[in-house]
Amino acid sequence: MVLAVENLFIHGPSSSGPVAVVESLTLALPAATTLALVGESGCGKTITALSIMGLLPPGFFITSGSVKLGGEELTFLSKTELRQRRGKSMAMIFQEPMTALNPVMTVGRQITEVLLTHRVCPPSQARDKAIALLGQVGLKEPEKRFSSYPHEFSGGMRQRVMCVMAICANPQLIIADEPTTALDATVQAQILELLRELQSQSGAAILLITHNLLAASILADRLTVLYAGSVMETGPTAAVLNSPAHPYTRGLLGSQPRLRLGRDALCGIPPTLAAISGQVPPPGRRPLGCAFFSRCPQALKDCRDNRPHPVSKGPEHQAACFR
Amino acid sequence: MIFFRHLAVRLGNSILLLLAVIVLNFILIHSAPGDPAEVIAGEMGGATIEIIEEIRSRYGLDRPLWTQVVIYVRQIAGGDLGYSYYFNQPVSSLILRRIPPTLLLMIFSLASAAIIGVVLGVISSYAPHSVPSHLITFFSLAGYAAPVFWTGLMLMLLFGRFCPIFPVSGMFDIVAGHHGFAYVWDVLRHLALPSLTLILLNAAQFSRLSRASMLESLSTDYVRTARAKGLNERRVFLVHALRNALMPVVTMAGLQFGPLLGGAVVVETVFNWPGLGRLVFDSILRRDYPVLLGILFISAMMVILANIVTDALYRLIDPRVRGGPK
Amino acid sequence: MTDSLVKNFLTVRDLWVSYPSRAGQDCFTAVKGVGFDIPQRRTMGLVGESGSGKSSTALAVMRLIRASAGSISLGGVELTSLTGRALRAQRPKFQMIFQDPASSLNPRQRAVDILTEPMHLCGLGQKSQRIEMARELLAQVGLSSSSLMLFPHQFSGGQRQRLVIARALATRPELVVADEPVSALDAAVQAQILNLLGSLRDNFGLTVLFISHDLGVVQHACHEVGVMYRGLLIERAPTEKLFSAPAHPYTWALLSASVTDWGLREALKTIFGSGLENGVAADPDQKEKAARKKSLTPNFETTQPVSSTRSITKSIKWAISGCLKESGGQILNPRLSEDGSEGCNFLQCPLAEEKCRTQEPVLTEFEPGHLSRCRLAAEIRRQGQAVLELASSPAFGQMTAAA
Repeated sequence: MVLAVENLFIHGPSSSGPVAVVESLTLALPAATTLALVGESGCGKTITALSIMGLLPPGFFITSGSVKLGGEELTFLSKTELRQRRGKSMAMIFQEPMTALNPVMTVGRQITEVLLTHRVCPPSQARDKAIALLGQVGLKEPEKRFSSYPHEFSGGMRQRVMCVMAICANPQLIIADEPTTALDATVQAQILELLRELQSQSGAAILLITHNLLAASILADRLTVLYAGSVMETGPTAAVLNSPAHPYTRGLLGSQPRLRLGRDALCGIPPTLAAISGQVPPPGRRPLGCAFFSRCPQALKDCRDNRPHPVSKGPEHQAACFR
Repeated sequence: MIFFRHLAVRLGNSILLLLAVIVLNFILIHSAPGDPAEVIAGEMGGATIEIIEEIRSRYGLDRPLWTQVVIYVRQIAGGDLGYSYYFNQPVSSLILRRIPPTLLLMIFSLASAAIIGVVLGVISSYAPHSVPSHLITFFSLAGYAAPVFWTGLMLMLLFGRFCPIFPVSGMFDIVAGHHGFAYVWDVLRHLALPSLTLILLNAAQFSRLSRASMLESLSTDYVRTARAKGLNERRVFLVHALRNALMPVVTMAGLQFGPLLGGAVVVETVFNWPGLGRLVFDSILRRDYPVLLGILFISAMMVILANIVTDALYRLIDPRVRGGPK
Repeated sequence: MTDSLVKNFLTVRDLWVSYPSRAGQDCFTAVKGVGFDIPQRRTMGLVGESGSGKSSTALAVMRLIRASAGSISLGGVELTSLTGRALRAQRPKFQMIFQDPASSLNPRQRAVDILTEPMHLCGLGQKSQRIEMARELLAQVGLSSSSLMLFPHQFSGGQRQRLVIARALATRPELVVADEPVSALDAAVQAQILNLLGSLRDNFGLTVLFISHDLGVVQHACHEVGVMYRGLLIERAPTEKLFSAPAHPYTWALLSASVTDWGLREALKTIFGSGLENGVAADPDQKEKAARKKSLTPNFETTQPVSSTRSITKSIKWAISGCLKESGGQILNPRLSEDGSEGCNFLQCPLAEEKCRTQEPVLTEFEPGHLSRCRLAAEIRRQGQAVLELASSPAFGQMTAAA
């Protein structure tokens, strides 16, 4: 198991003191598989990713639970030890490619930095290796790209550069935090497929963070749906998409406009989408019972005061719902 | 190619600016109260009205103002900056002799203030709310708030009376030789106090700016990426954050050239440093218009040049500004 | 169809937009001769990748940038020739919704000021009435009246976009130009905002120009769709017709990139390639062009193949050519010759023929209501329909499941 997160609690700052941002999160990610962590803004998915990497912003702490990378407990490690693993055993691809690269450094130098810091290859070979990697992710004229600056690239190309930086030290775990959100819909599939290709070559595990359930299905083997800091449902992609067991998942699926082609396009399209009304409660204002209670169309009286435990709905498929 | 075209445009604009400066200065100075002819006559030990009239016509002071402006501009275009009323020398040679000490003082002070200020600012940004950071802020502000001449006089008192390690006046000792290492060392010793005064004034601005710039740089996405790559904190700080944080500092350094020149006037007067500043001070008191105008012209030129150089430097440092995007 | 009887509310003809030259570069033409009509109370969508010129078209229609040529007429009034006071007098009739709610609202203005300022500028109502009107607007977009005194940063992303929409409606416009109104929002919130836009459109009888890069959203929200590529309008059709089977290879490439079903995506990519710009190689370089000239076998892949299942690709092609043979057609093979500059500007088209490179493609109505710039529009459509039929068959499902 490359990544094993057990009962993770993360607290963050608020005007009334520390509040729980992530509660009781459990994930399991074997090698060469992809797990998509799906949820809306403010549900805690980015904070989870940062906590695994050891990059929590000031004010946020892991208050309890365990995070194991390749069997090693990360919460026991010192800052230096965590830093040594960053980039080498676990790497992260961020959301905004426009600002994630240093604007005054050539792209090539930013890549060779990683190669040299983690001693992936001797310094004399670093440049060639970087150029080879740039070609591998689909960039044409890689030698030219090596000496170019980030502002000369488009968004999709920058994200490919980020992929190179992430994989060049052969990490076991790649965390991709909304890698396609800032890009055109047309490029999204390309980047996700690139990640899949890289995964099949290196055997790395991928933790994909996204708010788009359908896009996640392109890449993910398993889906975990997060709402207001708690896991609502987790299971194999096909199972969760075809027979969602939690009202929130059903709401997410129903609310996305799906592309209909061919003959399906000729039947009328319903005028409204089945949107979930209301908004995500911010940390600190979450209800005692089920986090989704206030917006759930199928809420029971029980749901308000008692938090549902995960219940098995199928092979490897669980949902935290009383129904 | 684009770079040189831009430079040429800047130079063209600068010439127009200089012209405007000359004309404006001329008009302003000649509108000031006080009759130079009488001052000169006074220096000569009193004179009759006929002699004053003669002085006036000799120096062209009886012509209408506009004619004087035109004559003057034509003069400058030909390279002749006029003739000093007081020193009885061509203004250009007077100024040229005084430029090197002033440039030495200014460049040394500016560079030192920048380096010291940036170092202090970077240290301050490493631990933004710690005691060293607050101390640095406090002393920077003190240096900035105190009037330049007060700082100069205090330093003079400190090093002249209580701790006589630096000479407090002049640029060199007569006893020291005029060549070789002994001369250089002597000048440097004399340079210490005047430049320290200016440094205390300017380091504050550099340290405040670089602190703010570093803090902003440290919170950017690319610094987070650098940390995610596993780079050690020192590399993140110095290579990734600092490089980007320095850009506003470079711009400010260029802008500081002008005010520094103004500060140099006071400092040179306090420490009797034989530069342009001292000359300005004396000329104002003596109503020596040609010298004043000459100095104004030269200093305007220096400031404009400094800004062009800064701009060019900025374009070289920031690859985004350098060429157009693809 | 009775479209011709319905008055065209927005008419754009031969619109050209150029951006002036930066130092050392020629001026960049973002929009080249785009023309379309939107009948009253209908929604038209413009799709394309970044850089296709769709946002520039929207800004030109809004007169926020000057068009270099062309005519834009709104309800009979010619906008391109208006300036100054005359233009300002028309402004209340057409408003814009921007993409990023965080940066399109003045962070120092409260909600009530954001809403009443446009009213004040066009002289709508008395001062005392405006606050009441603002309150009504908030209710219509689903915000409570207690939000009147809040600043933009105190709203969530979805709420901010509602505020942006309310502001656009403050002057009671007839035309709304929405530039990627939901792209910056979470998937779950997008649905809420799309529903809101739909109901407001019906309640107020708005005519809408909807810009987006997301085809699913456009299919849901628009009556008619136009596809832009590098400044040109390359296809235009009613939504059902376009999505049932487009008639231009580029539209197919866009579709294939948005489809989430792997099997269908592979099938589409096999036939239509993935000739998209962003990310990889905008222009094929000289060596590649030369290589393509020399080779006799068709080159369907324009980027490095990401999928390694070549056997699937072969089976798909074989199955499709079988389908097409039955109806009397065959898979189009590209045979590129000289690279002519008058030809079609879709350089990465996997189906290009010789004529494509030499003949200037023109937007023609090859079927009633359906316009395409591709010479082979009808063929493309048929081929695409075959692919879609194949992909929905159970045999195909078995073939791809084996991958």
